[in-house]
Amino acid sequence: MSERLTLLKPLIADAMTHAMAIQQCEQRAADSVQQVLERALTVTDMPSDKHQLKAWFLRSVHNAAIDVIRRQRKEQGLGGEDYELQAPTMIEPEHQFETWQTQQMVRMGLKKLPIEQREIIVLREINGCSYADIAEIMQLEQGTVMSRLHRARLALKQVLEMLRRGEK
Amino acid sequence: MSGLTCEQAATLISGFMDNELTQQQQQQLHQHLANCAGCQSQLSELQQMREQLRSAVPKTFDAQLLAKFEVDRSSRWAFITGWILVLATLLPLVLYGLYSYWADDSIPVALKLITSCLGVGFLLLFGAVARQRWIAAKNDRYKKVQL
Repeated sequence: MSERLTLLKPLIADAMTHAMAIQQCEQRAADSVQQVLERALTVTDMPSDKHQLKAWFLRSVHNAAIDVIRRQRKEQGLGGEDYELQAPTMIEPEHQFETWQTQQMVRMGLKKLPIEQREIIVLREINGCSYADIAEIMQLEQGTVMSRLHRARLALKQVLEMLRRGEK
Repeated sequence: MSGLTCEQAATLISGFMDNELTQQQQQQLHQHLANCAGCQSQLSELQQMREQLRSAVPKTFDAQLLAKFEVDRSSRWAFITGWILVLATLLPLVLYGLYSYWADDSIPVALKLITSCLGVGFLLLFGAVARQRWIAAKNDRYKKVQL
């Protein structure tokens, strides 16, 4: 059991970032990751290959986090991608103000994207997943990953431009 | 092969950034980029955005997340062995005690009955409370809240 935990431990930061990209709430994301970890420690089909393990683990996180979102929508009757913007919670005093401002804007821009676009961007840029991994994690056809990712990047760029203009 | 249009090159720009293009696609894109200032600036803007993204989204996790799973191995082993030893020795001792108590002819039967009823009563009370606690713990919505 603890051998599995050792295998999974380096992936937890990736899993947290991934769950955050979907759920946008640290507590809920942590709950999802914990739930997936609990399950991972008991299931029999956990791959032992390091590379396969990452895709497998992140796919479980994807499923768990999406499940929570679906349930939430059912309970609250949320339509579309309308979730509230949270006040910035991370303040790094050692960073210059401008960098800090850009970071806040990028985070806000990410929040404004639809879940699927935010997820694909985070999987690629932050978690460093290959297209094959992304296809497996998000259950997409491998041939569509590049174009989806590109569309997501353009969408983020557009949102950031809008935010920048709004700021001035 | 004829050159790419900007529209065709657009998606390949993402593939190029992610190192996911075939050699042929890479060559086509390079040819296009050499002659298209628009796509060149698109590429550098997207690359800049990637840098901003990486510095804006930290990859961290709360150590509390793992605390639940990280029980020290040796203390866990000692815990399990301890319980097994206590239960395994307690049971025969209790049985022996009960047997010798009932087999002792110097104690009146009425007293034996009364003390036995008292014992069973305590056991029932203990079982009922334990069952209630078990059900409450299973349905506790706030058990994950860390204080």
